[in-house]
Amino acid sequence: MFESIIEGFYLLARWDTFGVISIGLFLGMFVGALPGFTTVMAMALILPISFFLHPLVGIPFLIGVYKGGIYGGSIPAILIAVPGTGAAIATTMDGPQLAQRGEGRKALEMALYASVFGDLVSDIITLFMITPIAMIALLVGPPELSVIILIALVIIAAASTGALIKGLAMAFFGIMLSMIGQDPLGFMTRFTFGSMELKSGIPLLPMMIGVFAIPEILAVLERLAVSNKSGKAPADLSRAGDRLHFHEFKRCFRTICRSTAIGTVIGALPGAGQSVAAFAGYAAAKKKSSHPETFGKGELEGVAAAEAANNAVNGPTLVPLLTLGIPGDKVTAILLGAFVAHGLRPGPQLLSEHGPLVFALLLAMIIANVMFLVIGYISIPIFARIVTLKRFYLVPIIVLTAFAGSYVFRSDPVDLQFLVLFGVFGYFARKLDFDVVPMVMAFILAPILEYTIGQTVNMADGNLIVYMFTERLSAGALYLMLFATMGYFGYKHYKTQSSKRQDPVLVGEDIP
Amino acid sequence: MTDNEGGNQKYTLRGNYEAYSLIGMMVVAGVFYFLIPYQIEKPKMLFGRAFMDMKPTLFPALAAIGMFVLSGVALLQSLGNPLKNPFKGLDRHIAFQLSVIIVILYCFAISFEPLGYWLSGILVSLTLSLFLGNRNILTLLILSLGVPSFIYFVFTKLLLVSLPEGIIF
Repeated sequence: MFESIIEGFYLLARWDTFGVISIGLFLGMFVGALPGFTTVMAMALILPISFFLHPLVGIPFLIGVYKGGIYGGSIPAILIAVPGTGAAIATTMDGPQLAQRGEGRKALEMALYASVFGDLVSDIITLFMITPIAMIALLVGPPELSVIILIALVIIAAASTGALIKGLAMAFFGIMLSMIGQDPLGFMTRFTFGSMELKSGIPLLPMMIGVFAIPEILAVLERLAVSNKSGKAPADLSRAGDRLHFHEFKRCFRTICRSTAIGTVIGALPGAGQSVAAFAGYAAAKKKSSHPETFGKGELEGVAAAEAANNAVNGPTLVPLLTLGIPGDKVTAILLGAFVAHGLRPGPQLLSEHGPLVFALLLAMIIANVMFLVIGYISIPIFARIVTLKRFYLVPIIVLTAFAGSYVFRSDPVDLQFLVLFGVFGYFARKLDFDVVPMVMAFILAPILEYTIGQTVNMADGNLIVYMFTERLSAGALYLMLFATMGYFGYKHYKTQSSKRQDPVLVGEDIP
Repeated sequence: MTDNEGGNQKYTLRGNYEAYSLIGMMVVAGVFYFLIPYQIEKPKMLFGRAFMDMKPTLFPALAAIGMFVLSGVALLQSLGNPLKNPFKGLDRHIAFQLSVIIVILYCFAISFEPLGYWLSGILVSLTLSLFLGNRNILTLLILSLGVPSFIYFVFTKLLLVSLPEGIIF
């Protein structure tokens, strides 16, 4: 492992990697600082560009956008109480009160230091954790992998924004979409309806850009139209205030360490993500605090807790992706696309086949944190001003980049129609509270799932259940775990539904 | 499935957009299931034996059944949930604006190759900026000329990928 890390260091010794990380961090902060535009959207737009760069340039570019974006989301969360990204929702509990007291600069700097610390420590843990996990993953065969994918899909559906059943239905929809084209076992054509365009299946990139970027544009335009009608003026961002003092950082250090640990554990679980980590870190900080009554009223520790936890997710979220080939969230789904485009198939074999390159990428993440500290510190005042930038400057840029990026993937104009189609679909799905993440994840994982199930059936020679519980005990145990996971989430879902129904329902109240 | 009072709760389909979508998903799953015999090629045989033991229709059938059943369960739940109109606040004017944006995006998609990226990009940038309320001539010019030119330059000269040239370049 250490030889691979040292080799990784040598591979990383190139100026363009650090150049694109800087651009990525800056771009990520820019997008994150704009309420309504998310890091995922920025990454989806950058993804096709990364295809045409060296893996040690393209993938760090995406990582830079990711890291910058997660922090960038805290800027509007603190200054105008509008989280730039979902990860920054917990930051709105204390950040805006600090800004109102004239301590906006202090809160932004605390968010930066806590973010960098949480991210840096979790990345270092990831670096050392990945090899032992990859060694265990090497023992995983098709029967085990198939059930691990199923467990991951159930967890992702359970962690989706809508109800569990809707999340699972969307996952099945994603599986159905993935079946258009050729089957991964015998390469037989299916569900193409005689169309040549559909023979190679639905393209992943226009689908991802479509469901992640276009609905955001439409949602921003909708909000813009509503705010134009209501005549609301943008918030005043002129409050800056004092800088953060060392003793204030020291006071919050225990909280930052605790949140980092929480974020690191949550990051390794598929589907949980930054928002969950931020709230868990915030809740733990409040519980352990000697003055919990100050939380929610402008407590610096609250900002530190949320920001350290949400950024600590960034590194470990790569563990299931790199070791098992299973993306745990939308960001890792995009990163999976980048890895595959560069001929790197994430999974148990990745470390043994491309060990130095993987370690170079993990080291790039660590170095990106140090660069982030400098870039973030310098650019806080700039990004504090762009929070209320007019959207009509940005929408054409996003649209033009989205279309160019979708086209260059296969140079097929049909992909642009898929882009618009999935964009409209994503907008309505969002409106109706159907999370598209389980659909995209299932779309990506379904061919692997089908392939591994097919291989398992071949290995079992027609006696699947006997084979699972006699020769592949580990897979059998994992299947029991799958049923237990489904049972647990099913029970939780039932309890939620029951408590909802106890409230009186006013039919038609919401209908115009 | 029309209004049916039960205690303090009403079950309704009318105005329940979530239920409409779930019915749509059930229809899609059903159609998908019934298309399986017609839309999946017969498996290739090797010495009279199928290449894979798993039938090629099994996985698609499981997916369709899974989606149908889950959408059905979600539909039943949805009918008992409080009605929520996700399109509230989306009046006719805003709906019209969003429809126009979608039409602009679609026009961009179909004019992308015949007109070329640069020209269609200029037209789309200009239309979108004007439509969104930008009346500043300088920023309009910068946006509509600068953005497509910059993106064209990045893709074709820096990344060495081709974008459609169309009638100008």
